[in-house]
Amino acid sequence: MSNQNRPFIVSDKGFKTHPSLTGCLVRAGVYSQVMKLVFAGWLLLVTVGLAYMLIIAFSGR
Amino acid sequence: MLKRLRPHALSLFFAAIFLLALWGQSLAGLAEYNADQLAHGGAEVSYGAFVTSSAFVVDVAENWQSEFLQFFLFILATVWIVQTGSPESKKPGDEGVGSDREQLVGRFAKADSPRWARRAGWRLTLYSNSLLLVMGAIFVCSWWIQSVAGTVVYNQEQSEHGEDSVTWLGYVVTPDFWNRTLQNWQSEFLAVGCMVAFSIFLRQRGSSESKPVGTPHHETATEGE
Repeated sequence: MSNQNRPFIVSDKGFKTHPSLTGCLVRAGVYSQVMKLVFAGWLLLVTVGLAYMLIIAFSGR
Repeated sequence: MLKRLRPHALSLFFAAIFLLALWGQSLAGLAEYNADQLAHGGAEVSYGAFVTSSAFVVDVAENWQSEFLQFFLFILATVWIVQTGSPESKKPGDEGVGSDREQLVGRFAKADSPRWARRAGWRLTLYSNSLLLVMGAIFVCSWWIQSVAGTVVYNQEQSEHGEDSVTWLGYVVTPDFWNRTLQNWQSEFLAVGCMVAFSIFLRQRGSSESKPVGTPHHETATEGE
């Protein structure tokens, strides 16, 4: 999407401006959802890794 | 699709190379393990048997614990200790946990600040130290796993040599446990120390881990845009 096609927003200083794509996604909540997925994914990776190692270590294999 | 992933490419990149490296370690570890088995007149093991053995786990866990210890100490040390000129450090004089205003917590929190940053009491204390607590917990957990899996491997070797097995408490005071532990710690501390010191005078244009190329050497706590 080109800047010209994006809707105007009013900046903190009262100027009309074109929002960046990042800004639009943040406002739409898309970024926070994907960021939560990234965070949860890494937490899951480490937790599964630790649990896997713990089970094997205590199995005495 | 690629465009949507781009803002998260850093974490995805590291996830991909982590999995590749772990897979590579399992293959190389299996080859070494089987060569050792043959040399001692033992039977070769399958890939599945190796990746579910304490021999594999102890090697993975000893590296995990040292990496998480590195970041745990780095996060903790940078609260209280500074290094003039390093982008990894706060400015001299800024040591400490900072005021509520600087940290945007409590009544200084912004409308979009994390929910627990706007609270008071134990929730705020817990959230204010959450990064350190999680990294520390993963370090302790991996070090514990290293010690348990290490006991199994150590006792297998003791058995092969006709010697007595040891308990977990007996293992954690053996040279084997501390050799595995300290050989990883020393390399982590060296790398962090080098990063702190080298980044005073050296630059990587475009990296958030470096000062902008033209930043004076004496300037601290400035990161590349």
